[in-house]
Amino acid sequence: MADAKNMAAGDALGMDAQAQMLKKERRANNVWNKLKRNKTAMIGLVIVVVMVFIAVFAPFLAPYDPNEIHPLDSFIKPFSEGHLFGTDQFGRDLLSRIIYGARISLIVAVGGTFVGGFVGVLLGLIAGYMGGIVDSVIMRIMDGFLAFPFVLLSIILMTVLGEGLINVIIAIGIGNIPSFARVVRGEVHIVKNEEYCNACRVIGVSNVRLLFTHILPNAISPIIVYATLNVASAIISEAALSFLGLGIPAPTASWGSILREGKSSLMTAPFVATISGIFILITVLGFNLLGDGVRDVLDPKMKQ
Amino acid sequence: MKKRVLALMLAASMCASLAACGGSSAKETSAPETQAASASESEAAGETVAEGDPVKGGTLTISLSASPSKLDPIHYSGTYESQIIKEVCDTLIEYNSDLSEYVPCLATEWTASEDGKTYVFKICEGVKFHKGQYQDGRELTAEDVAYSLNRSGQLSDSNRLSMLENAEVTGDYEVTCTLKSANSSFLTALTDAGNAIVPKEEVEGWGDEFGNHLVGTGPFVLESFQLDQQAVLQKNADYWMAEPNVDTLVFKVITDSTQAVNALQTGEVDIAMDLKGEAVQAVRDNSDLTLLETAGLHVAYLYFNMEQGPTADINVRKALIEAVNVEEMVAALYKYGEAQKASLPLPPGSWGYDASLESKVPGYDPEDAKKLLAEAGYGDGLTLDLYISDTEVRQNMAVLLQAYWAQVGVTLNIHASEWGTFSEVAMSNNANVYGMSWTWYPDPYFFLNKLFSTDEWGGIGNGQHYSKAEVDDLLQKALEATDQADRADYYKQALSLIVDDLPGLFYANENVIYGVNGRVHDFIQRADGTVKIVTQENNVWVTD
Repeated sequence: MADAKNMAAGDALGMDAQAQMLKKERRANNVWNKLKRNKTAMIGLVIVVVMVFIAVFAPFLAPYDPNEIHPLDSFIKPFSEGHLFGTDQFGRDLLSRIIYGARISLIVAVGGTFVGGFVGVLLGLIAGYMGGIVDSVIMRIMDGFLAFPFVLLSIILMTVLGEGLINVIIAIGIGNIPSFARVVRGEVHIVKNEEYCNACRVIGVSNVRLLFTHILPNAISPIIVYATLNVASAIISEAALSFLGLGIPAPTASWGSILREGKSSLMTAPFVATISGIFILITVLGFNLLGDGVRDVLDPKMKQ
Repeated sequence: MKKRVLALMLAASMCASLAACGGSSAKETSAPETQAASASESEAAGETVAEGDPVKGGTLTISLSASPSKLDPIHYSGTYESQIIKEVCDTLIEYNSDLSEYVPCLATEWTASEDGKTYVFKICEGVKFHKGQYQDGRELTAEDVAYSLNRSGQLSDSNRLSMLENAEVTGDYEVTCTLKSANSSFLTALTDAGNAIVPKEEVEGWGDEFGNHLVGTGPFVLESFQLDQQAVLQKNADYWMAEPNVDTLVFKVITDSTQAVNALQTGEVDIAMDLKGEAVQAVRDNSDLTLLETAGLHVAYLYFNMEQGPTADINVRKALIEAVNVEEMVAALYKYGEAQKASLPLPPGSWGYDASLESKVPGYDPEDAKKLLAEAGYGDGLTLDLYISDTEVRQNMAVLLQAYWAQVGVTLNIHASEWGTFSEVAMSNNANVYGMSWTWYPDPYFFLNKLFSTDEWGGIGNGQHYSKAEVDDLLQKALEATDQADRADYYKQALSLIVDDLPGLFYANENVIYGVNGRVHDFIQRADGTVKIVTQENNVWVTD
């Protein structure tokens, strides 16, 4: 009895310990905790959070109206009194413009990625799942899109659509569709032949339901990774379009348009282009580090 | 020197940015042409030293700030094209380098009839065309002159010789031109590249392709022309005026001012035209380079829609003008002194200019502007569309304007587009406000008629539909008068009436600014922005 009791107690203890260990392991394997252990990813995350904070609270953070001109106070040097980053060629406070510019740059980058991601994922799912002619048609069209260099495609779209925030988002979004579709299609190809998908089919689950409740969730990791990295390139795309004068109409500031305006005064006031360039650099770096970290965490094949 | 260079640059830049830009479009572009041609008598142009004996040979490279596309004289529309045409072809007569008087070119002498309707030209003997595909370098005849003038009179895209009724051969070396009515701007028009003399065989042989195989009697022969890249010209050793000192002349297209200066500093180009912004300073700071700067015959302005919308109301126009601190705006736009503040739709270099009219233009008074807008029924705000060409100086102006007008409750939407789109909108009068510029000859005809005559409705100059019978009347009288003092008087009266109507905000006269390498000698800058390599006055040479 006593033995039996002891054994039972021992078992119970063992189960407890096991459960605890399991819990611990699960926690350790939890995406967030894994991410936390990745130092570079955390640096990236901090940068991203700071930038998002700046963008969201721009009206409270900016010391001046970003569009207020003082033509006679142009090109005040950085670290001057009242103007931490100095002023641009029209005497507008550069710090305020950078802060408001963060808004535009992030909205465009995230919006563009979302638009591209939404359509691209949908097309990728359909192409990958249906296969055959549907697959060929969709993917050949996507290949056609990919044949255009991204910036060229965006320029064409912006020329057709005209200036404006929404149009920039659409232009960058459309440019992003093909690569999202490719990523998703490849993933769907793997997932759709898994046992559980076959099982679903056997019990008569509809195609739509199978796609969205079983295949998509299991293909989501690479999408998240790709989307995070894509935000970084979308920031650069927005800057490139604004730099070419095809982005947001004046006087609204975006980092790209500040860079563009700074270009014409590179010799006399290099800080205008430099500061906006540094913000683009840091933010892109932040998203890239974060994206890399997320990939390390989500991709089971990438063991360290 | 400086001045001359400037003039050239200005002309080029103007063309690009404004009407002048005509480069892109054909008919509308008559305005652009203007830019090229304009020069002010009063401004002395700059020139580079010509010490020592001229050296023969070498290559001279000039950067153009916009891309020439049509080299056929009757089709050309911008200054950039006229630069090349004028090296390949000659005109009947020319302006001297400070644009103060006409000098003989292919015509050795000319006489006008009493009524001003008939002109007789004696043609230079022994002048030969370049060898071409369809003729073997034959001698220029009176037939060629009559043919070229009639061709331009009937077919010029920009109406460059529209006053000509007929040109006919009346002697071995004599051509008689009959005008539709007396027109004092006829001789000036003859100096334009659009009225250059070309051989009939080549024109008909090449047809639409003639522009790419331009043949004339000029100091240089067109060797190759690559669109958007460059035009390479070789010297015409038999040039009738003098053998060019330079062997090869290259026009390179470099649209960005900073790049042009970089090319100048590395020696890739010898003359950089139309410098702007800090590029100007870069040349000033470099002791190996010379900055040539001269006041151009140029006006940068905003032109209001005179026919429709809120700006049809003179009080709204007055308010919009009063809302802008022009002095501050010009200081901010032209930080390196590339322009002077303007008031009138005529550059001070033109002989029709009347400084006493400057005070008629309303000054900066935002409070009064708000009051006027409220009285006009726009107390709650007003939204206007501004169209500009997408050049930097115009875009910067638009941003400042937006800020000034915002202070009086006017919301401005800026539409920047390339020249072709801009000129279409401006000619069809589809917007509220247009930002542009104009450059041409010192003759006020090329400003006042083109911008304010009812006949010019639908052109790039008066697409805004300014119209006033008295002004039309005075402009016509000025054309028919032959004495310059009388003409100036008519133009001043017309100008006074125009200024009263506040058709626009005329804010700056841009300079013509060139950067020139020290190896270039005997180069003369002209206020009309044309580059002349070989004239009666100079023959450019380069050292190594």
